[in-house]
Amino acid sequence: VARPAPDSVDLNATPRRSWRVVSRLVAGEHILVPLASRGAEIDSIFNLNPTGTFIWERIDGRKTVREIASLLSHDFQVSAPRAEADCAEFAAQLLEVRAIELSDTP
Amino acid sequence: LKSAAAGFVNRMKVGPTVLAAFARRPSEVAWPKRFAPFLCAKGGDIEVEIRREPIPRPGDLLFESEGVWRAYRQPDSRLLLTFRVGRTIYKAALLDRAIKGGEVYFPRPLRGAPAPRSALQFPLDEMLFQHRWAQDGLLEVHSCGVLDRSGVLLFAGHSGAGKSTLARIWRQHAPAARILSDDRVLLDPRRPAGVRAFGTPWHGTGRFGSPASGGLRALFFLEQSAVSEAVRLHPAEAAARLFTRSFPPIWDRDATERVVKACGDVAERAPAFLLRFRKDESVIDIARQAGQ
Repeated sequence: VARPAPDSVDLNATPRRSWRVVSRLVAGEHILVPLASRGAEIDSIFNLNPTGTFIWERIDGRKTVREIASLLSHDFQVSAPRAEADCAEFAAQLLEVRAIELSDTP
Repeated sequence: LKSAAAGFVNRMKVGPTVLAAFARRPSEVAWPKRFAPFLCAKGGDIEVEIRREPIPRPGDLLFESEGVWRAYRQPDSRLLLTFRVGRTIYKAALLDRAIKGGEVYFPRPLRGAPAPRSALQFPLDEMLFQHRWAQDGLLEVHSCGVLDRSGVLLFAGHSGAGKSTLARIWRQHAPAARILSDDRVLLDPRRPAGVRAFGTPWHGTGRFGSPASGGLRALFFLEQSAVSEAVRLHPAEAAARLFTRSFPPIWDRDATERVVKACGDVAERAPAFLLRFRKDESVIDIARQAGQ
């Protein structure tokens, strides 16, 4: 039985980009292309909006979700709780499509 | 043959790329007559030798198309593409990593089994080019290309989107325009002067295929509708749509990166539109105006 994807991830988790996803910045927005090993898996490409692109570009395997949210809060002039909620939810979405992996919470 | 004195070679050029196939019998490297405009006498960016020998044992499975072919990585790092009829592998291509050369194993069929004559029969011929183009950063797109006036208008769409219908509309109402293909067009975004679009021999139901080429003027993604209109797309959206209408070796990270880059380069250099179209000549003016 498939479990529903979590709505958000732990703010202390450290995301890193999956090697199974190829990304490319096109005119200021990223597209994400998952690699596949079966024909039926070729079903999705993901376009990120400017906020998603900002977060994606800061996912480097070193910054935690909370640290990325702090950068988002500063650059986009939104409150820290709002940025943290957005980042955690967005990371959960990336996790669901296997675009990122999470390191253990310190 | 590459490795023997007596044999035959057939060469086909699509875009800037020449495939040279070597064999003992001419029928083994024959292409359909409609490919004649693409045959050439020199070159060999991809060189394959046809061998009437048993198919090599497959290595690690890389990709299962869930159709007629599979891709494997061999212990010597070469790529093996196998092709099946039912459960029987009837031919395979063993290629070096750069897709510059290799062998096509095409054993004689068992008595009573289906017997394709040419070792390069579709889809292998096209796949050899596709794999090489992915290495070179070129992009084959599921599309209809029309060389109209000063440049190429590209109409991309999956099967059933209306590519052949559109080609027939252009042929009927704008006979001076040249149809590059009604199913597959090759884009070369590497040139400083602009993206070049080439026709290919692989056609749709309209059977349009030409080796002509031209500078790409605009991209359109097809959507049939009651009215004709063109809606501008963001380049990132266009790049993603291009990728889903291309033919990358999606299991290969390096090659996929090059294909995604090509999609981005094309989308950043040519205006892209969602083209809703009614099946009549109104689509011609809409496309011409958008492509100006």
